[in-house]
Amino acid sequence: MNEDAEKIEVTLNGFKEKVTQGSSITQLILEYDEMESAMMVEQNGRFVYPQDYDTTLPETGDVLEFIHPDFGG
Amino acid sequence: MSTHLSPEEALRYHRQVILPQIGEEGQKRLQGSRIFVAGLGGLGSISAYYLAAAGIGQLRAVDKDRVELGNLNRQLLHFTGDIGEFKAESAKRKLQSLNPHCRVEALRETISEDNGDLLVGDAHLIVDGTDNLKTRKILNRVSLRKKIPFVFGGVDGLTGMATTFIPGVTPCFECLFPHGTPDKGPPGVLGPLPGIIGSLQALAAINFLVGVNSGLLTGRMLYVDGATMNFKMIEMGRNSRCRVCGADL
Repeated sequence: MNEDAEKIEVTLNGFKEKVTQGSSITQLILEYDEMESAMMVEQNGRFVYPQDYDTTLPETGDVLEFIHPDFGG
Repeated sequence: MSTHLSPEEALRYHRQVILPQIGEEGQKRLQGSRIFVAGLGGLGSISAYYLAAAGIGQLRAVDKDRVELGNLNRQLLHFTGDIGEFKAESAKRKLQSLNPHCRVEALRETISEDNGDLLVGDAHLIVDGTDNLKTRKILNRVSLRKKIPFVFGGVDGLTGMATTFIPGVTPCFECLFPHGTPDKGPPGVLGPLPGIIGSLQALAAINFLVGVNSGLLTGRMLYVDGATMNFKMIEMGRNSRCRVCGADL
């Protein structure tokens, strides 16, 4: 990550976090070590499809959740 | 299939028949309904129990496993004395005893791509009580092929989630989960979580059958966190690039 890049504040998994402006969901998943192939990403209460991770760029004030889905029964 | 309520049935179902959303008409719909329950573990134990109690006409439930001691903290259809017995048989006995008006067919089968269509048959609804991604993908594809709604539920640790997939209307299971997931072994689970999720699945199923369309969990995933007691909804649109159902968009 570029240290000089402008930061924006988002809420990530319930915590206020400063992230680099222009970071994609994919980059945030890697940065926060949340990688799991079946993970769900929620942005402002809406599901984000995996194919949109690269092009979805969170903005200031966004609320993001990385959710590890439940497949037990 | 009887199309009227006997005096005994009228009394049995009285507390739900007096609900304006159900009424005698709704009860007759439940009586004429066929539901496929996939799995008789933590989720299926609960959903099948409520569905039988509510007066569903026919329940076909499938589970290949036998009851084990380690199941009993959450799989409430099975008792200590049932250990070693097939879950299908244990469940059938309880469900039939609970409500003799419900025709219960319990099969000791493994759901596969080869037999999925046959097992689901002409059910009006598929209720998920499985414990793995692969079987859910098989059920999802059966649901899409046969245009039968699929009520999904899953639990892991202290969290759980549920939604209803309606072919051609909502995303499908593989819109949301196109990839596999690492096999982490059986998750820890506290009994009330599958209790909550299985109950919600039964409720969504009943709502669908009687036409309470606001209560189906369609286009939204209910996510329950038992550690914080937070319940939240995640909105979901259809995925035009889903390789399983996207082509019909």
